[in-house]
Amino acid sequence: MLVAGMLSGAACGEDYGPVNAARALHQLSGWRCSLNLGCPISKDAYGALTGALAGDREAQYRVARLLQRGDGIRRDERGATGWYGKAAEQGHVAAALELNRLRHEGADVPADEIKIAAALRLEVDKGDRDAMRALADMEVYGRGVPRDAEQGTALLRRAATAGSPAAAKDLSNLFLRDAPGIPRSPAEAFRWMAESARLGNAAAMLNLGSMYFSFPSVAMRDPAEGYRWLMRAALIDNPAAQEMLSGVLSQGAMVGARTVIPPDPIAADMWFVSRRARHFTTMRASGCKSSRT
Amino acid sequence: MTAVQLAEAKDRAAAWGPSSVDEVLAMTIPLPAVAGTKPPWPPELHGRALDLFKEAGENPPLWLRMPDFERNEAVMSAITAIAEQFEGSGNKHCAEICRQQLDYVVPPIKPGGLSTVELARYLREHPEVSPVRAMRKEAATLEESMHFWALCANGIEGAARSAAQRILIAHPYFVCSGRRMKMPLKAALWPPHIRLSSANRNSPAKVRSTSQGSAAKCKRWPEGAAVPLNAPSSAGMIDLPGQ
Repeated sequence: MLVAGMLSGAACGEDYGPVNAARALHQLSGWRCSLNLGCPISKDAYGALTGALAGDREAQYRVARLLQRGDGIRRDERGATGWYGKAAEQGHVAAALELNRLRHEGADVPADEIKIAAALRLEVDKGDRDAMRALADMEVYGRGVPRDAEQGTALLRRAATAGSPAAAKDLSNLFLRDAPGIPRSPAEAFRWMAESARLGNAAAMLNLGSMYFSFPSVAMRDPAEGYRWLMRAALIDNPAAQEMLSGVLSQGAMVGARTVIPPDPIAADMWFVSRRARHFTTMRASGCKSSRT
Repeated sequence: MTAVQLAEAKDRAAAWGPSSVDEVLAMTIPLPAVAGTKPPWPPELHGRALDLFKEAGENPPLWLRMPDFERNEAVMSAITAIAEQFEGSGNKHCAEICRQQLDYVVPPIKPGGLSTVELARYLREHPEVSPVRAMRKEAATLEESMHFWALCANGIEGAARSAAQRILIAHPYFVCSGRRMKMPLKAALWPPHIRLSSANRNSPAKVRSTSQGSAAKCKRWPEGAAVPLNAPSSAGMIDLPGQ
């Protein structure tokens, strides 16, 4: 027990972020991790960390993911952000998108944004639609490049027109939010959300369904279409859509005094049970305990 | 829901499996059949009153039955039944409010409404008749019937209810919230050219504005469902769950 404790505790509290990862890796005795004998981090994490330190952008992204989830390595969000930054600086598009998301959530991103924008532009020139999304966000919010909302939205339109459902959804969200230099436009938001849903984005299907039920403009509300989009999202196993659909079927929906969706308690409960069952399965798979359904 | 229904829902959920995006996009999704199904609860019916109606089961007493809003007489008898239930429980105030809603549901005395002269004469000859009723010009629309029934039905509130009390709510639990449904005491906006007898002083304008005011005050929708299309968006912004 003492030996095991010493072995596993060797790297306890180590910092695997980009700044200290080399030192932390050096402290891990190589034979323990290469033979997987009491290595304090998983084999996968060890391999990714070695690659990341060697400058492999894919490995850097992998380390960031493992650190973010605490998968085989101690969870470290700051370290994860650091590795996402390193990968993004080398033009890793998924890492750049994740960085954008983290920035919007208020995270401090220790990365060279000018370098990221330049690297993304190369990917954009190759026609990468996700790179267009990532760069568009940086342009709209003026990070790493001068702020240019028009160019940002043009880039998103280009990606959406090329068939990116995520770009269409991003564009819709810009029109819904108070993005700098982009006047709020529910109609444009609706249009792009519908486009994203038609291109197969499940979250957009849910949002579109929700919009049809509660759009600010009464003329655009249509519970029948709302039901159809919620059903589509529910059928592809979107738990939030299943929950909302359950609510709609439980209460029914009307236009004035006309019934459009009659209440169907059995179908409502069926979707509720499905959502709950999948929620528990997901929680079990991720090793979490859920205190609420 | 019955145990059989719950079991069926569970079985359906167990048998269900997700589809692919391509399959779903290619699907034509039919709406659930409306004919023969129970219509949705009017959005204006809320709170404990809604729970009571829901819990009343398949064969509820008349006063706990949602009427067919397309049939004027069904709405009237439903409102009358609720009013009688209030009277039976000694709640004259709520009974009066319910009977007042009848004025907005009854067909007009004369199609197209009475002229001013006819109206004045009619009210003189029938002092017991509410001027609201006498002034009606056309039959209530579906929405109006639903609205005025809900104003009456919302007065029903159940306090602590056990399973045994679900169908027939005993006397002490049958209460009307005076806070939510206030009666106008005096007519203020009655047209000056019509003299009022003591029995018909409640002006339609006053009654209507007060009733609708209280309804608006109590208005709230269950999240994400049964939102009537004429409902104002609370924040003027869309609440998107998937973002």
